[in-house]
Amino acid sequence: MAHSVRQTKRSLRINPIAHGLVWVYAALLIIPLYFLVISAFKPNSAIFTMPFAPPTTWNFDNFVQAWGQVQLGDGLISSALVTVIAEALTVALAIPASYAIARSRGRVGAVVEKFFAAGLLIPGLAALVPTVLLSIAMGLFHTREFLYLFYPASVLPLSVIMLTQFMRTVPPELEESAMMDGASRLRIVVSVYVPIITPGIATVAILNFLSFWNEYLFALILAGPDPDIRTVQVALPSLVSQTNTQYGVLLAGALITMIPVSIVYIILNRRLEDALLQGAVKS
Amino acid sequence: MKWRQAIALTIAVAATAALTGCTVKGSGGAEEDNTLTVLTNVTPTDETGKVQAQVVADFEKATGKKVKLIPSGESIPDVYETSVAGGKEADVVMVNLAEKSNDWVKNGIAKPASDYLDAWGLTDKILPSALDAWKDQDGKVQGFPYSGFVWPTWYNMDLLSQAGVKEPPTTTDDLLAAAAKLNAAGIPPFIIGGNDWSGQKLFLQIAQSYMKADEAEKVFSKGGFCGNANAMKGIELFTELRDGGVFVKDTQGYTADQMNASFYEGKAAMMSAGSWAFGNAPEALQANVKLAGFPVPSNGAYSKPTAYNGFTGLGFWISPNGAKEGKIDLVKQWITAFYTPEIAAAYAQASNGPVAVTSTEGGNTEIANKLTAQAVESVPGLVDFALMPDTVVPGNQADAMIRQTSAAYAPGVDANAICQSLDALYS
Repeated sequence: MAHSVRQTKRSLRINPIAHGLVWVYAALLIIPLYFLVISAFKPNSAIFTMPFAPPTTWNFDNFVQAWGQVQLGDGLISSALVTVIAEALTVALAIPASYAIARSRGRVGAVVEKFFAAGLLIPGLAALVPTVLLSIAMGLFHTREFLYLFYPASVLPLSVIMLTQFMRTVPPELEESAMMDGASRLRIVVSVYVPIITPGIATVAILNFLSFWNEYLFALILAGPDPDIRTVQVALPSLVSQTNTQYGVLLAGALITMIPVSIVYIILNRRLEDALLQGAVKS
Repeated sequence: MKWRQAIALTIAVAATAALTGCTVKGSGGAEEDNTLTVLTNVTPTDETGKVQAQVVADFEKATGKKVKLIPSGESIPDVYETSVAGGKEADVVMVNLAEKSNDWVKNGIAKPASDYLDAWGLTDKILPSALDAWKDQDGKVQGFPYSGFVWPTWYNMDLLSQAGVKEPPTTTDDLLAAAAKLNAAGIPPFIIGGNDWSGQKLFLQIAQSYMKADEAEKVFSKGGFCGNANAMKGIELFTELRDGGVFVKDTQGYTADQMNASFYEGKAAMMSAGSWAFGNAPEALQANVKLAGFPVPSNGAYSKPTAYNGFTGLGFWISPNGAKEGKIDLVKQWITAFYTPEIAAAYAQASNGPVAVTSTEGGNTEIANKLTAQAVESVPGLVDFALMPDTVVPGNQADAMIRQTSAAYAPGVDANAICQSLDALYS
């Protein structure tokens, strides 16, 4: 007993090396963010000559210019549409697929699971040219609709594999008792599985949200540069010019694009933590 | 479970928006025929953007049609080339003639301007030298030249004086001596964006120090740096200047934007930058800067220091969509509007650079910027103009060449290694 208490006290004592490393890690995360925020309020000359000095004035000219110059408002709306619809489609497809795989006992289920896992092996860039050709063939080149379809396809392998693992933690007895009560498969998925694996769904949702919101290359090529269609990540680099890039304006724009991601992360963060802790402690 | 309801509501709103009011504006049909789409690298919020906005307003009033501007930055060539593949390209592209755009007419993704110049009455309105600059190897004028530039060397006379240098150096020996004095005084001498296109242009400017324009054109377009004695002398001169401390420390890592910012702040005594940088130069600095050429060797191909000039800074390209029957009249009206004397004068003033238009009579030609005034009044007499590489270096090799010239700025890379890396691009 005494030995156990000593061990607990020792484990709770602050380890100066670990403590120091945590601060270094925190600094590694905070310094770029600090640079981003202060630079968004500075002109080029101040950014290059005194990169880490705080701005002399805190006016919002750079933000106003970024907003107007490349129509960031339209870009944000486009990004929101693409992200939310693609997210909804992904979750709507991944949940039943992962349920079927998790509950499958035969070879077919194993093959399908491996098929999804194989999807993870395809590098994104390798799919670029065939995807462009597909969008042209479908008559959806330079439209948002193609992104609604393409993004879910690109993340389904990881989403299905992850959700399958969460589904497998649900005791089969729950499903059996629901069946005995006359519940259909759909009812079982919606009323039994989804509530239990909510942290898993939140995890997948956050990862997908970040992936959809921040994606640049495919959005540029497939949806094009039209301000009515382009996502915010395509609009933002339009602030880069070959001869005269105003980095303060560019970073102000970058800061604006980060706001929705931060809000979603704050909302879903708790669910993500729950998912990470699931199974970490014995009940 | 409020958060679930919130998510469901968000999805419902997004789906409704996607299917109703915010649906994609389609291509084709009557609406498209009434709209001219222009992919442009003119920044909407700067002075040139205001001139462009004036043209849009005049155009829409005169024609009753709409202009859809698609402002894009550095990515214009990539964006345009991909959109052509899907048949969704803009009707007109406003971008410079350099690197990738050099191959557009050759590859059939832009219509040659020479097919329209006479019919639209523009041949006489455009400077012959500008039309020559936009010709490809088959003699076709690729696009409609519009905005140009002067690309001198900038000398901060205050900093040079502090180091005991009274006048801008005119020979490379003078430059080496000036750099030694500046370094001794703790003043960074010559800054250049060694990591990007600005470093590439300066490298090629020095590399052609012993070559006349036709010889340089042959080497830059076909390769053969190692096999050309004059090209090798130029590259050796470059390494001599580099190793003689002419360039600031770690030049190979700088970009053009960093170069401008450092020079504007008085952190370097010399730089090579074009007229596009005049507008952002602080007013206090403008009075203190002398524009001249880059020093030349005493036994080189040029008798005076060299600078670049050209009319490849901005032009109009007609896309396959723009050349279609329903669009070409609108394209004509859009492009010709820029060549009226009033608009040309306004654009020249806004861009602080020359325009390729023969007459700006009647427009406001007053020059407020001191550097622009120098570039117009004194620079032409002080310099010889070297061969501008943009239209000569093949478009598909331009990016790779920038990587090689960037490496050339690193200390210890000898002339043989540099010429071999450049020649490898052409093989």
